[in-house]
Amino acid sequence: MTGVRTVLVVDDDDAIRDITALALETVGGLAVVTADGGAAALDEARRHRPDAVLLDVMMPGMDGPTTFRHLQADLELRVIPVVLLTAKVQAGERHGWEELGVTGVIAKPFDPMTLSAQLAALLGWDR
Amino acid sequence: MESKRDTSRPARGWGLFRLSCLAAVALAVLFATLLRTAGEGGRQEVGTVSLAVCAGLTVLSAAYAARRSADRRRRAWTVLCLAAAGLLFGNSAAALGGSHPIYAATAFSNGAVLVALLLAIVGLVTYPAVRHRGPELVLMVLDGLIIGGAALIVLSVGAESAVLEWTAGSLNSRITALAVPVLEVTLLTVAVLLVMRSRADAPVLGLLSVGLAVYIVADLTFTAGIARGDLDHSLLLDVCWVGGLLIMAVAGCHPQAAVEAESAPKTPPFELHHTVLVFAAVTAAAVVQIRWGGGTLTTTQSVLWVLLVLAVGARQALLTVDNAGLRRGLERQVRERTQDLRRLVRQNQVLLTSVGDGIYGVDDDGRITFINPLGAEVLGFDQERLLGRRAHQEFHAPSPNGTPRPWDECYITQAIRHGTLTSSEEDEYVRTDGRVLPVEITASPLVDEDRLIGAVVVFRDVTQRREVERIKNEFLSVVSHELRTPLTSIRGALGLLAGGAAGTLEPPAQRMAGVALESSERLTRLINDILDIERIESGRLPMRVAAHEVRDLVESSVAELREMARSTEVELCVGDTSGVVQADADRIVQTLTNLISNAVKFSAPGAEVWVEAVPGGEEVLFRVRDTGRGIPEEKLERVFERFEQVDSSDSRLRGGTGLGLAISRGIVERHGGRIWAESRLGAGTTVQFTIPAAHSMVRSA
Repeated sequence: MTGVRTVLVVDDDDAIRDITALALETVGGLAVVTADGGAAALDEARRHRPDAVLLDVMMPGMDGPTTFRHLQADLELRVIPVVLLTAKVQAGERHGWEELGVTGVIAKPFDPMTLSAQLAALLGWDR
Repeated sequence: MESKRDTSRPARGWGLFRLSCLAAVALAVLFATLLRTAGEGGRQEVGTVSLAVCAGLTVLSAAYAARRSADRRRRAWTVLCLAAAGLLFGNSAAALGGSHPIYAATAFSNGAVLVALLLAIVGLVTYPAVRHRGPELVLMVLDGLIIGGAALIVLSVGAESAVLEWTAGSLNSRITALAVPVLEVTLLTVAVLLVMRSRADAPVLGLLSVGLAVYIVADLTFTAGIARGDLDHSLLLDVCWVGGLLIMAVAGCHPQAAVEAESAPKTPPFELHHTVLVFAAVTAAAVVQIRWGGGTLTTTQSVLWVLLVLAVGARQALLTVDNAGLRRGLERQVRERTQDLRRLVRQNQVLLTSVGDGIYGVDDDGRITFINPLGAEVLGFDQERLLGRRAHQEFHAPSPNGTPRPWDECYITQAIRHGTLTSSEEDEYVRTDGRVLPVEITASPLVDEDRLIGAVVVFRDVTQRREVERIKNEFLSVVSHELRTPLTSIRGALGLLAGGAAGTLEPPAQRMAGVALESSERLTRLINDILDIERIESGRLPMRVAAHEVRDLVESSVAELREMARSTEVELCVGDTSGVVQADADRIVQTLTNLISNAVKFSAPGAEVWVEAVPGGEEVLFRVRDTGRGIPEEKLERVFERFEQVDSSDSRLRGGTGLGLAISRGIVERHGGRIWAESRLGAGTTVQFTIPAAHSMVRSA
């Protein structure tokens, strides 16, 4: 892989979006684009073709799983790996979401200092 | 008390009895030989002495029986002893007067014998062989009198009306002479009646009766013979007298004489054969009187007949009165029982009507025999319409997949066929309007005299409770999400600050950021743990059970805590880990993580924490061992309760939530395993838990 990887962070909560982006950028050295909802996420994905999507589950309007299904329905976007970020699961209890077809699940609250490493591990990125 | 004494020394009781039997036979033979060999003159003296000896032995034997026994039995034997003493006294008085006690009885000796006979009757009648009611006692004496009187009439006819004439003398001596045979026959009758009515006491009473019979028959034969004037002054009579007394003496030595009979089955108060016996005696007397009486009655016979008729009348009156009393008693009992029954039925009805649950009963075919009004109402049925119908077919809802539940698997069938008691919180009934009703049921078998006759099912509509549960779950889910969302920002921001991602901080600021970060982590753990414990306790913890290598589970847990251990300078050691468990991997890792992090928290720097897992039989035993401060024995169980810690400051100092062990126990128990702690204060703690091993097929795969 060459160049800086780009991650699309999707979350309706501004604070979480900021922290996540900051963690990935400053700690992980990743490029981050953000979206505050499902519809915006699809637009940003089309525009930036990120290397991964970090997707919140509970969002007003189009929620995480729906957004994921839309991404999957798009022939060009379906190749982008998606990791769910959710406050709905307990740590160590991700199977239900993984069955949806996502690459991984990270529980909120997360550790910002290890977030990019966690993400890289799930996606199989060499750092 | 008495029976105890007897059972503890049975050999001695029987030994004495056997000895007394042998002695009696020996004495009888001895006296018979002496009487035979003595000349005509000597026989009277030998007879007198032998009678006195035998009567004396009877006195001693009765006294011995009285001494061994207690209460009513002792009284009876005492009276019988006095009777024997009376006989001895009467005979001795006659003998001292220079005459043979029987062949030449005096009025005085007859009087003593009369008293002895009366005492013997009293003794027998009060003998506690059977439970007597007042009327029964009177009846028994009356029966004795009637049979005795009848026998005397027969005797008087047989002796050609000369019974009284051989006792030339005063009226006093005549009455005495008449009374003795009457009382003798009465006594014999009472004895026979008693033997017929007793069970456990039959041997003793039987011996007494046989002895009495032998003695009395000899006496009566003698009386009749002497009255007729053709007395055969035979040896046989002497032997009979002696033998009769000896047999009575033996009775007193019988082990049963002193033993309280074990609650004899209750005999009906008046039995038919008693009445038959009495009327047979009267009829026999009448036939003899008419056939051989010569058409006339002597004065004695007239008196006897009058007495006989009076006794029979009294007997009849007594029976009538007693029967009336019994009938009244029975009627009263029936009335009371009917009232009780009505009250019980009313009580049951009130109970079934007032109870807040539905209740129905089914017979052994599963058909409804009753249903309470509330039950019928909840199901939307008419109470009467359900009777006789099969509950399972009528309203048991089909399985979640829509197929009818098999009758064989229904809890009603289980209760009826196998007597199984079933409680279920997850059952459904269908109302008449088609609505499915979530119900909680308890089905119990109905057992009557060891036979399964049906089942009774108590059910409760839990629609409201389910709704409350749903709202609660939704609430918890929302709350956890709403709490975690801001917590994610706080924890994230603090993590970045403390981690230096937002620039280097001054040391005091760095310290504060660290404290805030730690607290936000603790808050996160607390929220997670509370959600977990709530789900465990409400049985909603999702479980994904599959076969897992124990080694993988242990390694994941250890990997998760390696960093924590390093920071506190505790060494994490993994011992033997083998086997395959059938479990939810995430939950087992969660449990192990809880236990290992506890062990690390309470270990001193430089100490080791060991994690092991060994298969054994049907399960795998996990073990987490530390060398920390240990747990006091009284807290070994309590640490598995919610918010129970060895020291109340632990949660503050060690950062625990106080829920870890409670969660671990919940998880282990959901798997069907057990968890426990062993500890020595100051030496360390070992927490162990078992998880079912996976099927061997999986292991080899």
